[in-house]
This record gives sequence, C-alpha cells and structure tokens, in this order.
Amino acid sequence: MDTTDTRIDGTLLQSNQGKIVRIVGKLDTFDGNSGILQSNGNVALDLSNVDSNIEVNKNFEIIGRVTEGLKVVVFSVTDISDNFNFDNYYKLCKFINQVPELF
Amino acid sequence: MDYSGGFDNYEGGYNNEDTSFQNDSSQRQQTRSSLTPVTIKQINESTQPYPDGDFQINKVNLNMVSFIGIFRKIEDRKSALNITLEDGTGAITVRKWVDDSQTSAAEEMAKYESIKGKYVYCTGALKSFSDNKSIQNATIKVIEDHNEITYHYLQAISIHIKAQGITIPKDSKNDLFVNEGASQSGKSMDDMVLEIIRNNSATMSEGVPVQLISQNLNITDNQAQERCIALVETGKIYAAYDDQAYLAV
Repeated sequence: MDTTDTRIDGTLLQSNQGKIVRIVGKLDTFDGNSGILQSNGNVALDLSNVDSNIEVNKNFEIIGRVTEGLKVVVFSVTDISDNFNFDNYYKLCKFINQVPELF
Repeated sequence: MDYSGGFDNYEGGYNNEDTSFQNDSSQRQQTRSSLTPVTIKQINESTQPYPDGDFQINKVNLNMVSFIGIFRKIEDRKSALNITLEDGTGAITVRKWVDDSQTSAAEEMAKYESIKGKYVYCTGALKSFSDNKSIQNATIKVIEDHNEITYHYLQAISIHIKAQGITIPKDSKNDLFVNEGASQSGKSMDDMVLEIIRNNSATMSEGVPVQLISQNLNITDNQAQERCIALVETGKIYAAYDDQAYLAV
C-alpha cells in the first residue's frame, strides 16, 4: 500500500472524483455486491471486489476510488467500533483539507 | 493479548516547545522524551538538521512519536519482524526485535498475524540509519475504540498549528462541541457571562459583580448568579472577594 488517499465524508465526494478516498460510515444497506454507507450523506458503494465480513448497521472504514457517478469502488474494508462519534469525524474531515502538510 | 508497552500518554507532545529553548542537559533530556502525535506523512517528510539531533517537520520537533495506522504487512527477518503500517498519508516499516530467550520469531509472527488489517496505535523513537528512518523501541497496540483515530489526528493538527504560531480564535474553540442552550446569536448564556467576566477581569481585580453581568445581559441577578455557579463548577471562573463577584481563570 504505497498509494496515499484522502480521508473524507459523504459531502466531499464531488470534490474527490477519480481519487482514492477513505471514508468512515455506517453501512445502511448491503446486497452482496453493492451497498449504501451513511457518512454525512449517502455514499453508494461497489463492494464486488471485497470479501470481508460485512454487516448492515455496523460501522466500517472503506478505501476506494470515487467514480464519475460518485459511486465508490471499494478495495478494502476495516471494522470500526460501534461507539464511533461521527460528529467529531465530520469535523476532522473538514480540518484535514486545511492542513495538507499533515495529510 | 496485550501489545502495549506502556506509552499510553498522549499529552507528552504538548510540552515540546516549552522546554526546547533550555540548554541545560537535564532539560534537553526531558524534551527528547516527549511524545508527539503525528501522521506517517510527517515522519516520512521530516528532516534531521543535525546528526543525532531531533527530527523536524514544519517547525515541530520529533523524537518520540506516536502514530496510528492499519497493520498491513509483516515479514520474518529471523532476528526481527518488519511490520508495515499505513494510514492513508503514507506507509512506514517498524522493526520489532525478537528476544530469543523469551519467544521465537515464528511465535511472534503468529501473534501479530491476527491483527493484520486492524488499526493499531504505535509509539517509538524516531531514528535514522544511513538515510533510512526507523522507529526504535516500538510498541504496537490494537485500537479497540476507534474514536482514538479522530482524537489522534485532532491532536496532531493542534500541535502542528501551534508550532506555526497560529493562535486559535476563542470563538472557534468549542467548534467540536455542541453548546447547550445556544441562544439565537449562536452563543449560549454561559458563553456570554464568561465573555463579560473575561473582558472585565483585568480592570476589576476584586471580581466582576453579578449585578454588572445581569445588567449587561438583561437578566435577573439570580439568573446571573446561577450561570456563574455553573461556570465555577466547570472551572472557567472562580469567586473573587465573595460569591457576588467572579474572575475568569
């Protein structure tokens, strides 16, 4: 994993088209190949390349590429604990943009 | 399984700047052992102005560093394990030496194999050998509560911003927290009371009277008194001469 990515939430999909992103959210729906992740808005996921254990209503961090249609083709999924504070996370995503020296 | 090695103190990094001006050797020792939360990108881009000195990145001194990453890869190098961590800003390899008298490389491999793909919190001393950066005496701990990721990055941002000499405006201080009972102007009554006390503390050494606060905010003395007591409890102000006048901390 030598590539880098940008940590975002659902509101920043548009400005990251074509890029590799990292999003933490709660999985709303999942039908085997695609799903919807809630992260300050809905994020459509293409999960056909992923074989991790994925459960609806759980928190996950996904890494994937944003397509032109703003769907995220997911490469990797990481479990995130149930008590995750999303309000703090959304604030962090806004700050990250302002400190390119760190991210 | 416990992978922690006793470096759970996140606050260490804040003391950096205060002690670094001292030339006394005992003080320097203190600076060198402070723990700075960083991103992997900061480690990879840091430079070492003097051989064996502290690393620097954008005016932040790095010696003991803490960072967060996903455990991606582990390689068995017989006497040591090479562990690759990645956090989206970059990747770094951490070397864990194997103590043959206690355990074997294979045993350690099996232990770490189970945390592959999980978020870990790593601390260690940043060193350089023939232009390659390495993390010495690394401790690796699996993160159970992932809010730690958010907090770690916020701390790293805070330290970076402070090192640039940028002060955070008072109004945005509570950005992360929802103000209770926010009024239409966006400020809660507590904030407005606090503001009056702060503005007048310098000129009223015996305390800012409750009556002044109530007049300014168009509330009753009792209401102003209640707000003051609440602010005392949160440690933002204290009673001056008696409980009818208060000073900001």
